[in-house]
Amino acid sequence: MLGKLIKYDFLAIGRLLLPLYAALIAVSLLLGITVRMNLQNGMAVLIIIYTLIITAGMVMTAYLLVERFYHNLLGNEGYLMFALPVTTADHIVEKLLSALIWTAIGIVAVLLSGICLALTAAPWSDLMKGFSEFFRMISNGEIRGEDVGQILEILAVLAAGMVAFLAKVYCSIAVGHLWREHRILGSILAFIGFSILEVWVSIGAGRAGIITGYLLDTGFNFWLSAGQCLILAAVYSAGTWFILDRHLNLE
Amino acid sequence: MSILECRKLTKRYGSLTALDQVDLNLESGKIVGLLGPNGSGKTTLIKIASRLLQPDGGELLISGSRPDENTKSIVSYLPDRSYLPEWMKTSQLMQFYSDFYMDFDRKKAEELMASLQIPGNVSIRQLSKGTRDKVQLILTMSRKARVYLLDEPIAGVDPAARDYILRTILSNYSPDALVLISTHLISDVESVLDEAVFLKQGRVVLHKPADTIREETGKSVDAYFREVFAC
Amino acid sequence: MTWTFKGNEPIYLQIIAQFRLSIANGTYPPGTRIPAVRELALEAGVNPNTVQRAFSELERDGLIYTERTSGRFVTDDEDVLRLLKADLSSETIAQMFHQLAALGMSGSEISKAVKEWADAHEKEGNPK
Repeated sequence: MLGKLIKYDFLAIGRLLLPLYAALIAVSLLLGITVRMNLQNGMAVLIIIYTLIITAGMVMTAYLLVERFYHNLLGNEGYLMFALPVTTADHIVEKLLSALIWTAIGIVAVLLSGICLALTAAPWSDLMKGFSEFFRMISNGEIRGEDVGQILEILAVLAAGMVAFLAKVYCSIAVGHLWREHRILGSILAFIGFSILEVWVSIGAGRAGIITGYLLDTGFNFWLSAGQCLILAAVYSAGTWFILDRHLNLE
Repeated sequence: MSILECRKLTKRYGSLTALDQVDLNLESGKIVGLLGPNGSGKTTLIKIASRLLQPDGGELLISGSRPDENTKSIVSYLPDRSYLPEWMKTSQLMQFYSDFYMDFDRKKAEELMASLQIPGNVSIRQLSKGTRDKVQLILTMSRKARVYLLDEPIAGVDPAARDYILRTILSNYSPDALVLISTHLISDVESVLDEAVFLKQGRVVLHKPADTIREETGKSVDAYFREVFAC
Repeated sequence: MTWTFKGNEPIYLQIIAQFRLSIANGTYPPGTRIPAVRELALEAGVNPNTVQRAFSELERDGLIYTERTSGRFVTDDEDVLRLLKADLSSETIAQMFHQLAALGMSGSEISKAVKEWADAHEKEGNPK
């Protein structure tokens, strides 16, 4: 069931983001060509467009992930979604998974566009030199498994942090849902309330702050930070679950 | 055994009691009218049955169980509003229903859509309200469910569409299923009802076969309703 | 057949009445097949259980019978049909009598008026 839910969120979001990423790739290819042919004006314009598209992608992803939760579960579509033979937990987990997937797709899209840019901009000889240099560094130990491990750790913390933040947003929306007359205001107040609570809890525990604070306070122990973020995400999601499962009140 | 049972079912919204200790037993193979003025608790009862709402007291049982993800697979709910994602095409919605509901008869749904000339590659956004309503009805009734909950299916609908809706409900009749129609427009639906339940301010004040009401009162269900609910 | 129902009488009784009339006046001749419950329910816009109830009673009265695999048929039992016509005609006569009596006519006045009307309209043959 989870897979099916992901499929339809994918269609809903993909129809907006995938064309954007396709445009990104296209622009990067064009940009590469202008670089190779040294067309200054074209380059300038395309660099601006490229940056705009990336910004749009980030903004849209953030917006869509929040909007999907609010609109798809708590708007009129909620009548469709909550009538499905699926548990409330499935819905919440799926929305968080969807968020991870789309963030990953966004990052991959940017990386891919970078590669496309390199492929079209640089002459083959330079690229070949770059690749052989890269492989040399791996084979004589200048790039190590540990380095890859470090990159993964950073990604883990970023992912966990994102999930914790989004879980907080979802919980705020759920709390706002309880206040019938002023749902959006309620959500904003809840978010602020949760943020304040996080600061108090972390100060009480002798720390500078949750999420980013964890990085500093755990002495850059990435896995510990990631773990703490996940616990936070679980707590917020439990709250979201309780509200949506026991106190749903669609308009 | 009743397929839908309410035992002292109670639901409050703040200080307002929407359902007040409701006891009700509904059986399969019947088309039952849940009749009452706006605000009498009809939608609340239906939402509890489809687990969109939780009771404050008592319980509602579907085939002996409290509403959960399993009862939802045998309950087909048609809300009184537009609930389909606007961006989806009708063909995608077919796939959606097929994916989530094992009892969805896609072939039947496609035939019904075709008979109304509703194209498959058009998004919900592009359909008129009347057509949207019909799509919703077709999707709901194309499931082989045990309980159909129709919340005001004919309100705000033109007479021809109303006939279509009632014909669809009748042709879908199964002795294994309960169809619960909630409405305040009684004269339009009373000929298709087996039984009538009058809901007044959250309480069941009557639950009888429609013909029995006619026999005992010498009035149509609609006329008797007006009497019972006269202000 | 078009169906219109009065709201204030049990529908199953109205279905029965309509069938009795149709069988008596030849709309459904003896031995003809009657539509299935579902079909009739859809056509008439009424609940299938109501139709079923009407059929059960018609069956109990011997006006229709069920052939397991082929469906429901109008009886061709001449005695039953004769009895039906007699019942319907006395119902109609009773109704007419009550209406005319309400106008203040006596039994013999009514009989006389009926005979006069019949004689005057005899040439027109049986109005169908």
